[in-house]
Amino acid sequence: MTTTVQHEFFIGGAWVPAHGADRIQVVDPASGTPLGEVAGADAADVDDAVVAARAAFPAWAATPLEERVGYCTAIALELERRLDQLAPLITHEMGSPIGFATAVQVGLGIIDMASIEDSVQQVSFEHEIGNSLVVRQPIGVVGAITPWNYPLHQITAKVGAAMAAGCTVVVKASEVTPLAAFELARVIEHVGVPAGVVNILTGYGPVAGEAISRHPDIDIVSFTGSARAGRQIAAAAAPTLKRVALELGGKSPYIILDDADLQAAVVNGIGKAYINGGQTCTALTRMLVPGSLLPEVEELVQGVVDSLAVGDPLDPATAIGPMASAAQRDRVVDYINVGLAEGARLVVGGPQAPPGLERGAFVRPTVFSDVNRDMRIVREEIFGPVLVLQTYDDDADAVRVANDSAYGLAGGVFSSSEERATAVARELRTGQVEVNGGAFNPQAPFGGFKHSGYGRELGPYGIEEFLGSVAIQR
Amino acid sequence: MLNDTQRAALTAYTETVLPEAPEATDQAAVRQAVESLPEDQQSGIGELLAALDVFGFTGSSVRSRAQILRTVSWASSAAKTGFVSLTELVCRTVGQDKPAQQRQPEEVAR
Repeated sequence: MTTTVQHEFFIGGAWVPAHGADRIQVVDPASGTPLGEVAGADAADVDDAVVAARAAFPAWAATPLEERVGYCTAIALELERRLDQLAPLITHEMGSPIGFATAVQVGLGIIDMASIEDSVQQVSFEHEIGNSLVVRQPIGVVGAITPWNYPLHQITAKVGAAMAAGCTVVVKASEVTPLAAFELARVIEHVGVPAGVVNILTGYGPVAGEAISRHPDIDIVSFTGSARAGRQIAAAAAPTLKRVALELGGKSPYIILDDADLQAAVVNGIGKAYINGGQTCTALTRMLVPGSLLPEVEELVQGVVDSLAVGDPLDPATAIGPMASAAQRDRVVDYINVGLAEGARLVVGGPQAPPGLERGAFVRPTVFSDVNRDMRIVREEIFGPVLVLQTYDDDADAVRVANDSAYGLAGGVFSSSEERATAVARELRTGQVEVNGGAFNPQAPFGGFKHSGYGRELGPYGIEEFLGSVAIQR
Repeated sequence: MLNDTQRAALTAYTETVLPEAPEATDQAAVRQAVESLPEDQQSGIGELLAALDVFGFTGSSVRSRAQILRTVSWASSAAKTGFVSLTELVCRTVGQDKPAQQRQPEEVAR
Protein backbone atom coordinates (compact mmCIF):
# COMPACT_ATOMS: atom_id res chain seq x y z
CA MET A 1 0.00 0.00 0.00
CA THR A 2 1.23 3.47 -0.83
CA THR A 3 0.91 6.10 1.86
CA THR A 4 -1.99 8.49 1.34
CA VAL A 5 -1.86 12.12 2.36
CA GLN A 6 -5.25 13.80 2.36
CA HIS A 7 -5.51 17.25 3.85
CA GLU A 8 -8.67 18.19 1.95
CA PHE A 9 -12.34 17.44 2.54
CA PHE A 10 -15.04 16.81 -0.04
CA ILE A 11 -17.27 19.87 0.33
CA GLY A 12 -19.60 21.39 -2.22
CA GLY A 13 -18.41 19.00 -4.93
CA ALA A 14 -14.77 20.03 -4.59
CA TRP A 15 -11.71 19.05 -2.55
CA VAL A 16 -11.31 21.89 -0.08
CA PRO A 17 -8.21 22.32 2.14
CA ALA A 18 -8.83 21.90 5.86
CA HIS A 19 -8.87 25.08 7.90
CA GLY A 20 -6.83 23.81 10.80
CA ALA A 21 -3.47 22.13 11.26
CA ASP A 22 -4.84 19.06 13.04
CA ARG A 23 -3.39 15.92 11.43
CA ILE A 24 -4.43 12.32 12.04
CA GLN A 25 -2.25 9.29 11.30
CA VAL A 26 -3.96 6.29 9.73
CA VAL A 27 -2.29 3.02 10.72
CA ASP A 28 -2.52 -0.54 9.39
CA PRO A 29 -3.48 -2.49 12.53
CA ALA A 30 -2.03 -5.75 11.25
CA SER A 31 1.49 -4.37 11.05
CA GLY A 32 1.40 -1.05 12.89
CA THR A 33 2.80 0.68 9.80
CA PRO A 34 1.46 4.07 8.65
CA LEU A 35 -1.07 4.04 5.84
CA GLY A 36 -1.64 7.73 5.53
CA GLU A 37 -2.29 11.08 7.07
CA VAL A 38 -5.51 13.04 6.96
CA ALA A 39 -6.58 16.40 8.27
CA GLY A 40 -8.94 16.54 11.22
CA ALA A 41 -11.94 18.78 10.65
CA ASP A 42 -12.73 21.64 13.01
CA ALA A 43 -15.95 23.60 13.52
CA ALA A 44 -15.13 25.89 10.57
CA ASP A 45 -14.78 22.91 8.21
CA VAL A 46 -18.08 21.53 9.47
CA ASP A 47 -19.69 24.91 8.94
CA ASP A 48 -18.45 25.06 5.34
CA ALA A 49 -19.90 21.62 4.71
CA VAL A 50 -23.25 22.57 6.25
CA VAL A 51 -23.40 25.74 4.14
CA ALA A 52 -22.79 23.64 1.02
CA ALA A 53 -25.39 21.07 2.03
CA ARG A 54 -27.96 23.75 2.88
CA ALA A 55 -27.39 25.50 -0.46
CA ALA A 56 -27.82 22.23 -2.36
CA PHE A 57 -30.94 21.16 -0.46
CA PRO A 58 -33.76 22.99 -2.33
CA ALA A 59 -32.71 21.79 -5.78
CA TRP A 60 -31.99 18.26 -4.57
CA ALA A 61 -35.31 18.01 -2.75
CA ALA A 62 -37.02 19.12 -5.97
CA THR A 63 -35.09 16.63 -8.12
CA PRO A 64 -37.44 13.86 -9.29
CA LEU A 65 -37.24 10.71 -7.18
CA GLU A 66 -36.23 8.60 -10.18
CA GLU A 67 -33.27 10.86 -10.79
CA ARG A 68 -32.15 10.73 -7.17
CA VAL A 69 -32.44 6.95 -7.23
CA GLY A 70 -30.47 6.92 -10.48
CA TYR A 71 -27.52 8.54 -8.72
CA CYS A 72 -27.65 5.88 -5.99
CA THR A 73 -27.62 3.14 -8.61
CA ALA A 74 -24.70 4.79 -10.37
CA ILE A 75 -22.77 4.94 -7.08
CA ALA A 76 -23.46 1.23 -6.55
CA LEU A 77 -22.15 0.35 -9.99
CA GLU A 78 -19.02 2.45 -9.53
CA LEU A 79 -18.36 0.92 -6.11
CA GLU A 80 -18.71 -2.49 -7.71
CA ARG A 81 -16.24 -1.48 -10.41
CA ARG A 82 -13.77 -0.43 -7.71
CA LEU A 83 -14.33 -3.52 -5.53
CA ASP A 84 -10.80 -4.87 -6.02
CA GLN A 85 -9.36 -1.56 -4.89
CA LEU A 86 -11.75 -0.88 -2.00
CA ALA A 87 -11.65 -4.28 -0.30
CA PRO A 88 -7.86 -4.33 0.26
CA LEU A 89 -8.03 -0.70 1.35
CA ILE A 90 -10.49 -1.60 4.10
CA THR A 91 -8.44 -4.66 5.02
CA HIS A 92 -5.37 -2.46 5.45
CA GLU A 93 -7.29 0.31 7.17
CA MET A 94 -9.16 -1.67 9.81
CA GLY A 95 -8.01 -5.27 9.59
CA SER A 96 -11.10 -7.02 8.20
CA PRO A 97 -10.05 -10.28 6.53
CA ILE A 98 -10.00 -9.83 2.77
CA GLY A 99 -12.85 -12.25 2.10
CA PHE A 100 -15.08 -10.44 4.58
CA ALA A 101 -13.95 -7.06 3.32
CA THR A 102 -14.91 -8.05 -0.22
CA ALA A 103 -18.23 -9.77 0.42
CA VAL A 104 -19.48 -7.75 3.38
CA GLN A 105 -17.58 -4.53 3.95
CA VAL A 106 -17.72 -3.41 0.32
CA GLY A 107 -20.58 -5.74 -0.60
CA LEU A 108 -22.91 -4.06 1.87
CA GLY A 109 -21.83 -0.64 0.65
CA ILE A 110 -22.88 -1.61 -2.86
CA ILE A 111 -26.10 -3.21 -1.60
CA ASP A 112 -27.06 -0.10 0.39
CA MET A 113 -26.98 1.92 -2.81
CA ALA A 114 -28.25 -0.71 -5.27
CA SER A 115 -31.28 -1.61 -3.15
CA ILE A 116 -32.52 1.98 -2.96
CA GLU A 117 -34.38 1.52 -6.24
CA ASP A 118 -36.40 -1.27 -4.65
CA SER A 119 -36.73 0.35 -1.20
CA VAL A 120 -38.30 3.58 -2.49
CA GLN A 121 -41.14 1.50 -3.94
CA GLN A 122 -42.05 0.57 -0.36
CA VAL A 123 -42.14 4.14 0.94
CA SER A 124 -45.39 6.05 0.88
CA PHE A 125 -44.30 9.57 -0.08
CA GLU A 126 -47.90 10.71 -0.36
CA HIS A 127 -51.23 9.34 0.81
CA GLU A 128 -54.67 10.43 1.94
CA ILE A 129 -56.30 10.18 5.38
CA GLY A 130 -59.89 11.46 5.36
CA ASN A 131 -59.81 14.95 3.93
CA SER A 132 -56.05 15.23 4.41
CA LEU A 133 -53.36 14.82 1.83
CA VAL A 134 -50.28 13.66 3.73
CA VAL A 135 -47.10 14.60 1.93
CA ARG A 136 -43.82 13.30 3.27
CA GLN A 137 -41.05 15.77 2.63
CA PRO A 138 -37.28 15.50 3.07
CA ILE A 139 -36.33 16.67 6.54
CA GLY A 140 -33.43 18.82 5.34
CA VAL A 141 -29.70 18.55 6.04
CA VAL A 142 -28.52 15.30 7.60
CA GLY A 143 -25.46 15.17 9.83
CA ALA A 144 -24.09 11.62 9.64
CA ILE A 145 -21.51 10.57 12.20
CA THR A 146 -20.14 7.13 11.39
CA PRO A 147 -17.90 4.56 13.10
CA TRP A 148 -14.82 2.61 12.04
CA ASN A 149 -16.09 -0.96 12.15
CA TYR A 150 -17.82 -0.84 8.74
CA PRO A 151 -16.12 2.19 7.21
CA LEU A 152 -18.02 2.11 3.92
CA HIS A 153 -21.36 0.50 4.73
CA GLN A 154 -22.05 2.71 7.74
CA ILE A 155 -21.76 5.73 5.46
CA THR A 156 -23.63 4.37 2.45
CA ALA A 157 -26.51 3.20 4.67
CA LYS A 158 -27.09 6.78 5.78
CA VAL A 159 -26.13 8.57 2.55
CA GLY A 160 -28.21 6.33 0.27
CA ALA A 161 -31.31 6.74 2.42
CA ALA A 162 -30.80 10.48 2.74
CA MET A 163 -30.30 10.94 -1.00
CA ALA A 164 -33.41 8.92 -1.76
CA ALA A 165 -35.43 10.97 0.73
CA GLY A 166 -34.27 14.20 -0.93
CA CYS A 167 -31.98 15.28 1.89
CA THR A 168 -28.43 16.55 1.62
CA VAL A 169 -25.73 15.21 3.89
CA VAL A 170 -22.64 16.15 5.88
CA VAL A 171 -20.70 13.01 6.80
CA LYS A 172 -18.17 12.95 9.62
CA ALA A 173 -16.34 9.70 8.96
CA SER A 174 -14.38 7.98 11.70
CA GLU A 175 -10.86 9.31 12.14
CA VAL A 176 -9.69 5.68 12.44
CA THR A 177 -10.86 4.71 8.95
CA PRO A 178 -11.14 7.84 6.79
CA LEU A 179 -9.54 6.47 3.63
CA ALA A 180 -12.51 4.34 2.57
CA ALA A 181 -14.77 7.35 3.20
CA PHE A 182 -12.70 9.54 0.91
CA GLU A 183 -12.75 6.81 -1.73
CA LEU A 184 -16.55 6.94 -1.53
CA ALA A 185 -16.32 10.71 -1.98
CA ARG A 186 -14.30 10.14 -5.17
CA VAL A 187 -17.00 7.74 -6.38
CA ILE A 188 -19.69 10.33 -5.66
CA GLU A 189 -17.65 12.93 -7.51
CA HIS A 190 -17.05 10.54 -10.41
CA VAL A 191 -20.72 9.77 -10.99
CA GLY A 192 -21.60 13.46 -10.91
CA VAL A 193 -23.86 13.77 -7.89
CA PRO A 194 -24.71 17.49 -7.77
CA ALA A 195 -22.33 19.60 -5.70
CA GLY A 196 -23.18 19.86 -2.02
CA VAL A 197 -25.57 16.92 -1.91
CA VAL A 198 -22.98 14.77 -0.15
CA ASN A 199 -20.11 16.33 1.79
CA ILE A 200 -17.51 14.16 3.50
CA LEU A 201 -14.95 15.08 6.11
CA THR A 202 -13.27 13.35 9.00
CA GLY A 203 -12.09 14.35 12.43
CA TYR A 204 -12.43 13.66 16.12
CA GLY A 205 -15.83 13.22 17.73
CA PRO A 206 -15.39 15.87 20.43
CA VAL A 207 -14.49 18.44 17.74
CA ALA A 208 -16.16 17.67 14.40
CA GLY A 209 -18.87 15.40 15.78
CA GLU A 210 -19.74 17.96 18.43
CA ALA A 211 -19.87 20.72 15.78
CA ILE A 212 -22.33 18.68 13.71
CA SER A 213 -24.48 17.85 16.72
CA ARG A 214 -24.71 21.50 17.81
CA HIS A 215 -25.03 23.06 14.35
CA PRO A 216 -28.28 25.05 14.03
CA ASP A 217 -28.58 24.40 10.32
CA ILE A 218 -28.50 20.62 10.55
CA ASP A 219 -31.98 19.10 10.83
CA ILE A 220 -31.17 15.58 11.96
CA VAL A 221 -28.11 13.82 13.31
CA SER A 222 -27.82 10.15 12.45
CA PHE A 223 -25.17 8.54 14.59
CA THR A 224 -23.77 5.03 14.79
CA GLY A 225 -21.35 4.25 17.59
CA SER A 226 -21.10 3.76 21.32
CA ALA A 227 -23.84 4.46 23.87
CA ARG A 228 -21.51 6.88 25.64
CA ALA A 229 -21.01 8.96 22.48
CA GLY A 230 -24.72 8.66 21.68
CA ARG A 231 -25.63 10.32 24.97
CA GLN A 232 -23.20 13.16 24.28
CA ILE A 233 -24.59 13.67 20.79
CA ALA A 234 -28.20 13.68 21.98
CA ALA A 235 -27.30 16.22 24.67
CA ALA A 236 -25.39 18.43 22.22
CA ALA A 237 -28.26 18.29 19.73
CA ALA A 238 -30.96 19.11 22.27
CA PRO A 239 -30.62 22.94 22.33
CA THR A 240 -31.33 23.13 18.59
CA LEU A 241 -34.22 20.65 18.88
CA LYS A 242 -32.97 18.69 15.91
CA ARG A 243 -33.98 15.12 15.41
CA VAL A 244 -31.51 12.46 16.51
CA ALA A 245 -31.27 8.86 15.34
CA LEU A 246 -28.94 6.68 17.38
CA GLU A 247 -27.74 3.22 16.42
CA LEU A 248 -25.65 2.25 19.42
CA GLY A 249 -24.09 -0.80 20.96
CA GLY A 250 -25.27 -4.20 22.04
CA LYS A 251 -24.63 -7.19 24.26
CA SER A 252 -26.74 -9.50 22.23
CA PRO A 253 -28.06 -12.88 23.34
CA TYR A 254 -28.01 -16.06 21.28
CA ILE A 255 -30.30 -18.73 22.69
CA ILE A 256 -29.64 -22.36 21.88
CA LEU A 257 -32.81 -24.26 22.73
CA ASP A 258 -32.59 -27.79 24.12
CA ASP A 259 -33.80 -29.43 20.89
CA ALA A 260 -31.20 -27.76 18.67
CA ASP A 261 -28.56 -29.49 16.58
CA LEU A 262 -25.78 -28.38 18.92
CA GLN A 263 -22.96 -28.55 16.39
CA ALA A 264 -24.86 -26.42 13.86
CA ALA A 265 -26.00 -24.04 16.59
CA VAL A 266 -22.49 -23.56 17.95
CA VAL A 267 -20.91 -23.07 14.52
CA ASN A 268 -23.52 -20.42 13.69
CA GLY A 269 -23.21 -18.81 17.12
CA ILE A 270 -19.44 -18.52 17.02
CA GLY A 271 -19.67 -17.05 13.52
CA LYS A 272 -22.13 -14.41 14.70
CA ALA A 273 -20.17 -13.65 17.88
CA TYR A 274 -16.88 -13.15 16.08
CA ILE A 275 -18.19 -11.47 12.93
CA ASN A 276 -15.68 -8.82 11.86
CA GLY A 277 -13.52 -9.87 14.80
CA GLY A 278 -16.44 -9.21 17.13
CA GLN A 279 -16.34 -5.55 16.13
CA THR A 280 -19.98 -5.51 15.11
CA CYS A 281 -22.75 -3.89 17.11
CA THR A 282 -25.05 -6.86 16.46
CA ALA A 283 -22.46 -9.50 17.43
CA LEU A 284 -24.19 -12.26 19.40
CA THR A 285 -21.76 -12.18 22.32
CA ARG A 286 -23.83 -13.95 24.96
CA MET A 287 -24.51 -17.60 24.15
CA LEU A 288 -27.35 -18.95 26.29
CA VAL A 289 -27.47 -22.72 26.69
CA PRO A 290 -29.51 -25.13 28.81
CA GLY A 291 -27.55 -25.78 32.02
CA SER A 292 -27.55 -29.53 31.40
CA LEU A 293 -25.92 -29.08 27.99
CA LEU A 294 -23.18 -26.68 29.08
CA PRO A 295 -20.30 -29.23 29.17
CA GLU A 296 -21.14 -30.45 25.67
CA VAL A 297 -21.47 -26.90 24.35
CA GLU A 298 -18.15 -25.90 25.92
CA GLU A 299 -16.42 -28.77 24.16
CA LEU A 300 -18.00 -27.88 20.82
CA VAL A 301 -17.19 -24.18 21.27
CA GLN A 302 -13.56 -24.95 22.00
CA GLY A 303 -13.30 -27.09 18.87
CA VAL A 304 -14.88 -24.45 16.64
CA VAL A 305 -12.80 -21.59 18.06
CA ASP A 306 -9.58 -23.60 17.80
CA SER A 307 -10.34 -24.14 14.10
CA LEU A 308 -10.49 -20.41 13.35
CA ALA A 309 -7.45 -19.01 11.60
CA VAL A 310 -6.24 -15.81 13.25
CA GLY A 311 -3.65 -13.82 11.38
CA ASP A 312 -2.81 -11.90 8.23
CA PRO A 313 -6.08 -10.33 7.05
CA LEU A 314 -4.86 -10.38 3.45
CA ASP A 315 -4.70 -14.19 3.56
CA PRO A 316 -8.01 -15.53 2.17
CA ALA A 317 -7.92 -18.33 4.76
CA THR A 318 -7.94 -15.93 7.70
CA ALA A 319 -11.14 -15.82 9.74
CA ILE A 320 -10.12 -13.22 12.31
CA GLY A 321 -7.70 -10.40 11.59
CA PRO A 322 -6.39 -7.79 13.98
CA MET A 323 -8.59 -5.40 15.93
CA ALA A 324 -9.08 -2.13 14.07
CA SER A 325 -6.46 -0.35 16.16
CA ALA A 326 -3.97 -0.91 18.95
CA ALA A 327 -6.28 1.05 21.25
CA GLN A 328 -9.13 -1.35 20.49
CA ARG A 329 -6.83 -4.34 21.06
CA ASP A 330 -5.87 -2.93 24.46
CA ARG A 331 -9.51 -2.38 25.37
CA VAL A 332 -10.44 -5.97 24.48
CA VAL A 333 -7.46 -7.43 26.34
CA ASP A 334 -8.37 -5.31 29.37
CA TYR A 335 -11.85 -6.85 29.32
CA ILE A 336 -10.39 -10.37 29.14
CA ASN A 337 -8.30 -9.57 32.21
CA VAL A 338 -11.38 -8.13 33.92
CA GLY A 339 -13.23 -11.39 33.22
CA LEU A 340 -10.43 -13.41 34.79
CA ALA A 341 -10.31 -11.08 37.78
CA GLU A 342 -14.09 -11.39 38.19
CA GLY A 343 -13.71 -15.15 38.47
CA ALA A 344 -15.00 -16.27 35.09
CA ARG A 345 -13.47 -19.46 33.70
CA LEU A 346 -11.67 -19.46 30.36
CA VAL A 347 -12.93 -22.10 27.95
CA VAL A 348 -10.54 -20.99 25.24
CA GLY A 349 -8.36 -17.97 24.47
CA GLY A 350 -6.95 -15.50 26.95
CA PRO A 351 -5.24 -12.13 27.24
CA GLN A 352 -1.95 -13.09 25.57
CA ALA A 353 -1.42 -12.22 21.91
CA PRO A 354 -1.80 -15.16 19.53
CA PRO A 355 1.57 -16.86 18.99
CA GLY A 356 3.67 -15.06 16.36
CA LEU A 357 1.24 -12.13 16.18
CA GLU A 358 2.63 -9.94 18.95
CA ARG A 359 3.37 -7.01 16.62
CA GLY A 360 -0.10 -6.19 15.28
CA ALA A 361 -3.37 -5.48 17.09
CA PHE A 362 -4.29 -9.17 17.38
CA VAL A 363 -6.39 -10.75 20.11
CA ARG A 364 -6.99 -14.43 20.81
CA PRO A 365 -10.64 -15.36 20.27
CA THR A 366 -11.84 -15.98 23.78
CA VAL A 367 -14.77 -17.71 25.47
CA PHE A 368 -15.70 -17.48 29.14
CA SER A 369 -17.94 -19.80 31.13
CA ASP A 370 -19.03 -19.82 34.80
CA VAL A 371 -20.17 -16.22 34.50
CA ASN A 372 -22.88 -14.37 36.37
CA ARG A 373 -25.13 -11.47 35.49
CA ASP A 374 -23.15 -8.93 37.52
CA MET A 375 -19.87 -9.43 35.71
CA ARG A 376 -18.75 -6.61 33.45
CA ILE A 377 -17.92 -9.10 30.67
CA VAL A 378 -21.60 -10.12 30.74
CA ARG A 379 -23.07 -6.64 30.92
CA GLU A 380 -20.77 -4.41 28.87
CA GLU A 381 -20.09 -4.27 25.16
CA ILE A 382 -16.50 -5.39 24.54
CA PHE A 383 -16.38 -5.06 20.74
CA GLY A 384 -13.92 -7.85 20.16
CA PRO A 385 -13.85 -11.65 19.86
CA VAL A 386 -15.00 -12.36 23.40
CA LEU A 387 -17.99 -14.61 24.04
CA VAL A 388 -19.63 -15.52 27.33
CA LEU A 389 -21.63 -18.71 27.94
CA GLN A 390 -24.68 -18.24 30.15
CA THR A 391 -27.06 -20.96 31.31
CA TYR A 392 -30.82 -21.13 31.68
CA ASP A 393 -33.45 -23.57 32.94
CA ASP A 394 -36.33 -23.43 30.46
CA ASP A 395 -37.59 -21.28 27.56
CA ALA A 396 -39.09 -18.66 29.87
CA ASP A 397 -35.84 -18.45 31.81
CA ALA A 398 -33.92 -18.14 28.53
CA VAL A 399 -36.03 -15.13 27.60
CA ARG A 400 -35.47 -13.62 31.07
CA VAL A 401 -31.68 -14.04 30.84
CA ALA A 402 -31.64 -12.76 27.25
CA ASN A 403 -33.57 -9.61 28.13
CA ASP A 404 -31.51 -9.00 31.26
CA SER A 405 -29.37 -6.38 29.54
CA ALA A 406 -29.18 -2.63 29.28
CA TYR A 407 -28.97 -3.12 25.53
CA GLY A 408 -31.52 -4.35 23.01
CA LEU A 409 -30.01 -4.41 19.56
CA ALA A 410 -29.92 -7.99 18.29
CA GLY A 411 -30.57 -11.56 19.26
CA GLY A 412 -30.69 -15.07 17.93
CA VAL A 413 -32.54 -18.29 18.62
CA PHE A 414 -31.58 -21.76 17.39
CA SER A 415 -33.90 -24.75 17.54
CA SER A 416 -34.96 -27.75 15.49
CA SER A 417 -38.41 -26.16 15.49
CA GLU A 418 -38.69 -22.88 13.62
CA GLU A 419 -42.09 -22.35 15.23
CA ARG A 420 -40.71 -22.73 18.75
CA ALA A 421 -37.71 -20.55 17.96
CA THR A 422 -39.95 -17.86 16.50
CA ALA A 423 -42.14 -17.91 19.60
CA VAL A 424 -39.05 -17.26 21.73
CA ALA A 425 -37.82 -14.62 19.27
CA ARG A 426 -41.08 -12.71 19.70
CA GLU A 427 -40.31 -12.34 23.42
CA LEU A 428 -36.92 -10.70 22.94
CA ARG A 429 -36.63 -6.94 23.40
CA THR A 430 -34.16 -6.43 20.59
CA GLY A 431 -34.46 -4.73 17.23
CA GLN A 432 -33.29 -7.72 15.23
CA VAL A 433 -33.59 -11.43 15.93
CA GLU A 434 -32.30 -14.20 13.71
CA VAL A 435 -33.92 -17.60 13.87
CA ASN A 436 -31.73 -20.59 13.00
CA GLY A 437 -29.18 -18.33 11.36
CA GLY A 438 -31.73 -16.53 9.18
CA ALA A 439 -30.02 -14.44 6.51
CA PHE A 440 -29.31 -10.77 7.07
CA ASN A 441 -31.87 -8.66 5.24
CA PRO A 442 -30.47 -5.30 4.14
CA GLN A 443 -33.98 -3.87 3.75
CA ALA A 444 -35.28 -4.86 7.18
CA PRO A 445 -35.44 -2.17 9.88
CA PHE A 446 -32.17 -1.95 11.77
CA GLY A 447 -31.93 -0.37 15.20
CA GLY A 448 -32.49 -1.09 18.82
CA PHE A 449 -34.33 -0.75 22.09
CA LYS A 450 -33.08 0.59 25.42
CA HIS A 451 -29.42 1.67 25.43
CA SER A 452 -29.01 0.44 21.86
CA GLY A 453 -30.62 3.67 20.74
CA TYR A 454 -33.62 4.77 18.74
CA GLY A 455 -34.50 5.26 15.10
CA ARG A 456 -34.21 2.71 12.34
CA GLU A 457 -31.89 2.38 9.37
CA LEU A 458 -31.87 0.44 6.09
CA GLY A 459 -34.48 -0.20 3.43
CA PRO A 460 -37.70 1.83 3.45
CA TYR A 461 -37.37 2.39 7.22
CA GLY A 462 -34.05 4.14 6.72
CA ILE A 463 -35.52 6.43 4.07
CA GLU A 464 -38.52 7.24 6.27
CA GLU A 465 -36.15 8.32 9.05
CA PHE A 466 -35.25 11.31 6.88
CA LEU A 467 -38.81 12.34 6.00
CA GLY A 468 -41.23 14.67 7.74
CA SER A 469 -45.01 14.58 7.27
CA VAL A 470 -47.09 17.53 6.12
CA ALA A 471 -50.89 17.17 6.38
CA ILE A 472 -52.85 19.28 3.90
CA GLN A 473 -56.54 19.50 4.80
CA ARG A 474 -58.86 20.16 1.87
CA MET B 1 -18.19 -31.18 -13.31
CA LEU B 2 -19.60 -29.61 -10.19
CA ASN B 3 -18.09 -30.60 -6.86
CA ASP B 4 -20.20 -31.82 -3.93
CA THR B 5 -20.57 -28.37 -2.41
CA GLN B 6 -21.68 -26.88 -5.72
CA ARG B 7 -24.12 -29.74 -6.29
CA ALA B 8 -25.64 -29.21 -2.88
CA ALA B 9 -25.94 -25.50 -3.60
CA LEU B 10 -27.58 -26.27 -6.97
CA THR B 11 -30.13 -28.51 -5.27
CA ALA B 12 -30.84 -25.76 -2.73
CA TYR B 13 -31.07 -23.23 -5.57
CA THR B 14 -33.63 -25.34 -7.42
CA GLU B 15 -35.65 -25.83 -4.24
CA THR B 16 -35.60 -22.07 -3.76
CA VAL B 17 -36.73 -20.95 -7.19
CA LEU B 18 -39.08 -23.90 -7.63
CA PRO B 19 -40.04 -24.86 -4.06
CA GLU B 20 -42.98 -26.97 -5.24
CA ALA B 21 -40.85 -29.30 -7.38
CA PRO B 22 -37.99 -30.68 -5.31
CA GLU B 23 -38.32 -34.27 -6.51
CA ALA B 24 -35.10 -36.19 -6.92
CA THR B 25 -35.70 -36.75 -10.62
CA ASP B 26 -35.96 -33.00 -11.24
CA GLN B 27 -32.80 -32.37 -9.25
CA ALA B 28 -30.89 -34.95 -11.25
CA ALA B 29 -32.17 -33.46 -14.49
CA VAL B 30 -31.11 -29.97 -13.42
CA ARG B 31 -27.65 -31.18 -12.44
CA GLN B 32 -27.30 -32.98 -15.74
CA ALA B 33 -28.41 -29.88 -17.62
CA VAL B 34 -25.77 -27.77 -15.87
CA GLU B 35 -23.05 -30.37 -16.37
CA SER B 36 -23.92 -30.59 -20.06
CA LEU B 37 -23.22 -26.91 -20.61
CA PRO B 38 -20.03 -25.77 -22.34
CA GLU B 39 -17.06 -25.70 -19.96
CA ASP B 40 -16.93 -21.91 -19.56
CA GLN B 41 -20.65 -21.64 -18.70
CA GLN B 42 -20.40 -24.59 -16.34
CA SER B 43 -17.44 -22.97 -14.66
CA GLY B 44 -19.33 -19.68 -14.28
CA ILE B 45 -22.28 -21.42 -12.64
CA GLY B 46 -19.87 -23.33 -10.43
CA GLU B 47 -18.33 -20.06 -9.24
CA LEU B 48 -21.77 -18.62 -8.59
CA LEU B 49 -22.82 -21.63 -6.53
CA ALA B 50 -19.54 -21.58 -4.61
CA ALA B 51 -20.10 -17.88 -3.86
CA LEU B 52 -23.56 -18.66 -2.48
CA ASP B 53 -22.04 -21.23 -0.17
CA VAL B 54 -20.01 -18.44 1.47
CA PHE B 55 -23.32 -16.98 2.69
CA GLY B 56 -24.47 -20.31 4.15
CA PHE B 57 -26.98 -20.72 1.30
CA THR B 58 -27.34 -24.48 1.38
CA GLY B 59 -28.00 -24.74 5.10
CA SER B 60 -30.48 -21.86 5.19
CA SER B 61 -34.26 -21.90 5.14
CA VAL B 62 -35.98 -21.35 1.78
CA ARG B 63 -36.93 -17.83 2.91
CA SER B 64 -33.36 -17.01 3.81
CA ARG B 65 -32.07 -18.50 0.57
CA ALA B 66 -34.43 -16.30 -1.43
CA GLN B 67 -33.17 -13.32 0.56
CA ILE B 68 -29.55 -14.30 -0.10
CA LEU B 69 -30.28 -14.41 -3.84
CA ARG B 70 -31.82 -10.92 -3.69
CA THR B 71 -28.97 -9.55 -1.60
CA VAL B 72 -26.21 -11.02 -3.76
CA SER B 73 -28.01 -9.73 -6.87
CA TRP B 74 -27.74 -6.20 -5.48
CA ALA B 75 -24.08 -6.67 -4.63
CA SER B 76 -22.98 -7.96 -8.01
CA SER B 77 -24.37 -7.30 -11.46
CA ALA B 78 -22.51 -10.35 -12.77
CA ALA B 79 -24.16 -12.53 -10.13
CA LYS B 80 -27.54 -11.05 -10.98
CA THR B 81 -27.07 -11.96 -14.64
CA GLY B 82 -25.88 -15.43 -13.61
CA PHE B 83 -28.97 -16.00 -11.46
CA VAL B 84 -31.25 -15.04 -14.34
CA SER B 85 -29.52 -17.52 -16.66
CA LEU B 86 -29.43 -20.30 -14.08
CA THR B 87 -33.08 -19.80 -13.16
CA GLU B 88 -34.06 -19.93 -16.83
CA LEU B 89 -32.11 -23.16 -17.21
CA VAL B 90 -33.72 -24.68 -14.10
CA CYS B 91 -37.22 -23.67 -15.20
CA ARG B 92 -36.66 -24.96 -18.73
CA THR B 93 -35.34 -28.27 -17.44
CA VAL B 94 -38.18 -28.81 -14.99
CA GLY B 95 -40.83 -27.59 -17.42
CA GLN B 96 -41.87 -24.41 -15.65
CA ASP B 97 -42.04 -21.16 -17.58
CA LYS B 98 -41.00 -18.95 -14.64
CA PRO B 99 -39.76 -19.22 -11.05
CA ALA B 100 -42.13 -19.29 -8.09
CA GLN B 101 -41.15 -15.75 -7.08
CA GLN B 102 -42.52 -14.39 -10.35
CA ARG B 103 -45.80 -16.30 -10.24
CA GLN B 104 -49.10 -15.49 -8.64
CA PRO B 105 -50.02 -17.61 -5.57
CA GLU B 106 -52.70 -19.49 -7.51
CA GLU B 107 -50.14 -20.44 -10.15
CA VAL B 108 -47.77 -21.81 -7.51
CA ALA B 109 -50.58 -23.87 -6.01
CA ARG B 110 -51.17 -25.64 -9.27
